[in-house]
Amino acid sequence: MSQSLKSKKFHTLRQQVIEEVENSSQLSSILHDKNSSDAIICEYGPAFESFRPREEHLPTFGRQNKLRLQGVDSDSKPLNQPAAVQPHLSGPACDSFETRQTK
Amino acid sequence: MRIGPIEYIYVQSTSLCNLNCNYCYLSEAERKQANNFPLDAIEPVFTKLFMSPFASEEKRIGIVWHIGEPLLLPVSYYQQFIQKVQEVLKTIPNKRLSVDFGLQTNGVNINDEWCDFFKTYDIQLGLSCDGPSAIQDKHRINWNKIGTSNKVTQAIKTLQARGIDFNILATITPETLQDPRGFFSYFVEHNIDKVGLNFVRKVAAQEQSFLENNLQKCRNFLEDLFTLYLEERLKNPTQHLRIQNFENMLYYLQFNNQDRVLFNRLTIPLSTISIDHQGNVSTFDPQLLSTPNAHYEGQDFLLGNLLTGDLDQMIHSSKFQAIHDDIQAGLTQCQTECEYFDCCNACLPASKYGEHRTFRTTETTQCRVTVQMVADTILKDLQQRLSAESKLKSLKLACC
Repeated sequence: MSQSLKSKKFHTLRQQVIEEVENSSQLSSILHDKNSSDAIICEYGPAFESFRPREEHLPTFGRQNKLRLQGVDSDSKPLNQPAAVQPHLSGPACDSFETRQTK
Repeated sequence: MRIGPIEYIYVQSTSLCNLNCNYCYLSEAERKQANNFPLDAIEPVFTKLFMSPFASEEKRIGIVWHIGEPLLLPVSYYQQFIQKVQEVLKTIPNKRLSVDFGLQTNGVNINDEWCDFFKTYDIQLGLSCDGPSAIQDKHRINWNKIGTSNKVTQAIKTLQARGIDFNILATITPETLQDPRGFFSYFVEHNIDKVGLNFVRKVAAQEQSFLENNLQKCRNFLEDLFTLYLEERLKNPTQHLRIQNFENMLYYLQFNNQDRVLFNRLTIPLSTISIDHQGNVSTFDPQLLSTPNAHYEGQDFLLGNLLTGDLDQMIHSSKFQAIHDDIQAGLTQCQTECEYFDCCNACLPASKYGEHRTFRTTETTQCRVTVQMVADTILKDLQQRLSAESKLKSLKLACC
């Protein structure tokens, strides 16, 4: 059995800890501003052994449809359908933290 | 099937490297040969890329020189490269594409001339540096086995003096695991603000996986490093060393897919395109460009050549279909079976293939360390802090 199947408590623990951190006077500053419209794009370059996830906000500025159509030949819904919003691209292979707005 | 749009194009401007790091994924033979991407190939290759329906106005395209040491070619090469790409862009009808440029370097050759180039063209810069000399010089050595820490530290100072922003990519080796504090302090002392941790599975001369044999040491290292990181962050909320792996994971832990969508470019065909010095192309994970393949047509993951074919032909090939189907099957498996899926999105196709010789699988040692262990480390640390905070509150209440 895989390690993760054994650890079914992960999701519950995650929710509980994050909720408590949100209410903590000492720790809440380490969380991202929930109301911020900034999307943080987190990526790693190829030298990073390929961990290059990317995130976009669900709250939108009305561009969902456009973005959903970006995938050419999108006859089926992608597993993780891209939500919309001012996507910010982070740096190149160089794994930037900077968020920059797509032109 | 979702295909594209193109977001990153990795170009092997040269396969040559002035270093012989013993964890490099490129072969020694490749790194010793000056195989350069010819400037006269830019026009045909980029015309096909930009004309394709997969290049979208909606997405800025990052062109990144990598997979070799880019700074071994002269500055003039890259100036011409950029100029030629810009000329191609002007010829694309009905689309206003935008691009930017970046590179990953070992930093040894950085000087004022390169800094001028970085500033003029707003080059996104990644600098590979493993930290203090005791760590860096063990693996990041030149062909004469001389360590590079002095030169890279000098490069950091040069870039900072010129006000050039860059990110550090630090590969984690056995020596790093032994000294989390020394590793952390090096970057703080050198006023670095962004570091990403790169856990390699194998270090040369070790038959077995370095990660598999050092899981507990990795856990201890991550726990110590996160404590150092968080202490510094709480002390200096606005200006602290940002360790990308921790900051990304904090974000993923905070938001799940119901709040914000996380998707993984490495599993979306043509979102990332890698091109070697001959114009050969692979997609998905850039590391597949140099990964041998024993299951699909040919002995590699190359889908075709942009000098002789185009992207449309490539994605209609049976080889592409087979690779795509297997990656998607692995993705679905991860989604079904792994609790950590929201925190990574099955993002490591090359690791899956490297470890299991198939994409139709879930966990890898790589993801146990870089995703699961990082998530667990953060939650454990935060739990302890919350518990201490709660006890303190109770004590205060009791005193009152």
